Amino acid sequence: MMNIVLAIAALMFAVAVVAAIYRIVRGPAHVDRIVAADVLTAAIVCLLGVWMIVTEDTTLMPVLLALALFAVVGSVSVARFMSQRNDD
Amino acid sequence: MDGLTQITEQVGDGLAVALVLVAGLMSLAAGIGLMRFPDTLTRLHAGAKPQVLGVIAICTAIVLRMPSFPILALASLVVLFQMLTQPIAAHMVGRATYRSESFDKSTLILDELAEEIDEAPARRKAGKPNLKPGKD
Amino acid sequence: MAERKQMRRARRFALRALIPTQLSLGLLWFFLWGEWSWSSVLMGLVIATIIPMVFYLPPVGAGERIHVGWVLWYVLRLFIDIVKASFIVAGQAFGIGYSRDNAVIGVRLRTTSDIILTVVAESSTLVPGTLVIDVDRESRDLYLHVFSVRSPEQLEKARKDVLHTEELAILAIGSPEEVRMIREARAARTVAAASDADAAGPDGAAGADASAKGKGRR
Repeated sequence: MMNIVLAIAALMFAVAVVAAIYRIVRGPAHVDRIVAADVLTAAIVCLLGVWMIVTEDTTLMPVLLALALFAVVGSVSVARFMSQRNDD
Repeated sequence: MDGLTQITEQVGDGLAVALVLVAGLMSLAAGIGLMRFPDTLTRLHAGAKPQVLGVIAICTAIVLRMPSFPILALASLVVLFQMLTQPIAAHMVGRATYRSESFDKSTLILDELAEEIDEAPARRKAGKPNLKPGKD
Repeated sequence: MAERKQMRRARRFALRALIPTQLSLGLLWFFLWGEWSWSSVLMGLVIATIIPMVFYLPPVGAGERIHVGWVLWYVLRLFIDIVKASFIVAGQAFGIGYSRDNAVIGVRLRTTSDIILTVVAESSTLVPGTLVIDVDRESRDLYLHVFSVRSPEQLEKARKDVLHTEELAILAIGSPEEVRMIREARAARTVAAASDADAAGPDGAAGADASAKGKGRR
């Protein structure tokens, strides 16, 4: 029973990943792409969390922290790059 | 005593599964919002906000499922970090979008920042202090 | 002579602002290692002392007053708001209650300290539905982008929410002058609510309700 529910949750995360990839490919502005990359990273974090819950193996915890760091640093750098280019 | 630990474990597992479903709902909403919404700034709202609750829910579920101090410490660090830095990233991206005007301005029914940007140079030239009449 | 005393006072202030940074960085190291041993705690304190000295940051000035009760209430309110608003925005992504109108509103804060401005801006951005687009430090303005506006009352509610967040933040970590200002404003609001209820008519139930609500806010 629990595995079925977790599989449904994993399916929801997978839909979010697909939607994010669609927006990365399609998005008319750079901002859309970076927001979609942020959503993609968060969905991957949640998928890793579900994996850890299913297998009861917690060695992947630091990976979550590192992914969160990457998402933020990526968003901030693209935002600053866009602002700089706008000032020219 | 053994029955009590069993019941607490089952309740903890049930709660963890419910939290994972909540996180799934949030990520699904973010994904669907990314696809559906017509405008860059609204996509930013839908994409960057509910995922904070999703990450909080997933970390709480992990801690409920495998309680131990290292996991609690790392999970609380992840949650704290997300809550501190996600608004900064969303703010910078939103500010860059607003300044580069690459969004659909017709959806704004009230734009006080544009009014302020228009009025400020005239006010400075007239020698008045750089404070518009307060709005509380 | 006065200049040397001023420099000494400035250095003492910088050292006092260093201690919360040191403690939190040490705690961060300890949490990252995650083991209950003395080596991680001591190593954390050592590194937490070295790093802020090497990478020098100006002191923010937040160590004057911390009221633990109001801080806990602030965190609790923030968490409840995040949960409520996340479900609302998730519903709007699925199409329930979504409106195509957005708005950019400006809110003038009454605080003079930078850290409270930052805390209010960050909390407002964290709660789904509003996003801080621009900050004007001189005139203490926050410009928020509100998402999916369904009625003008929602804009006014967003403004009031930001001001209420500022109140709670000042009560939690504000300076004593600001706390006094907030308490005076709240007392004035209670009196106004009670007198409004009295003026509305000799409705004993409504009057008692309003004054009870005013007392409850304390």
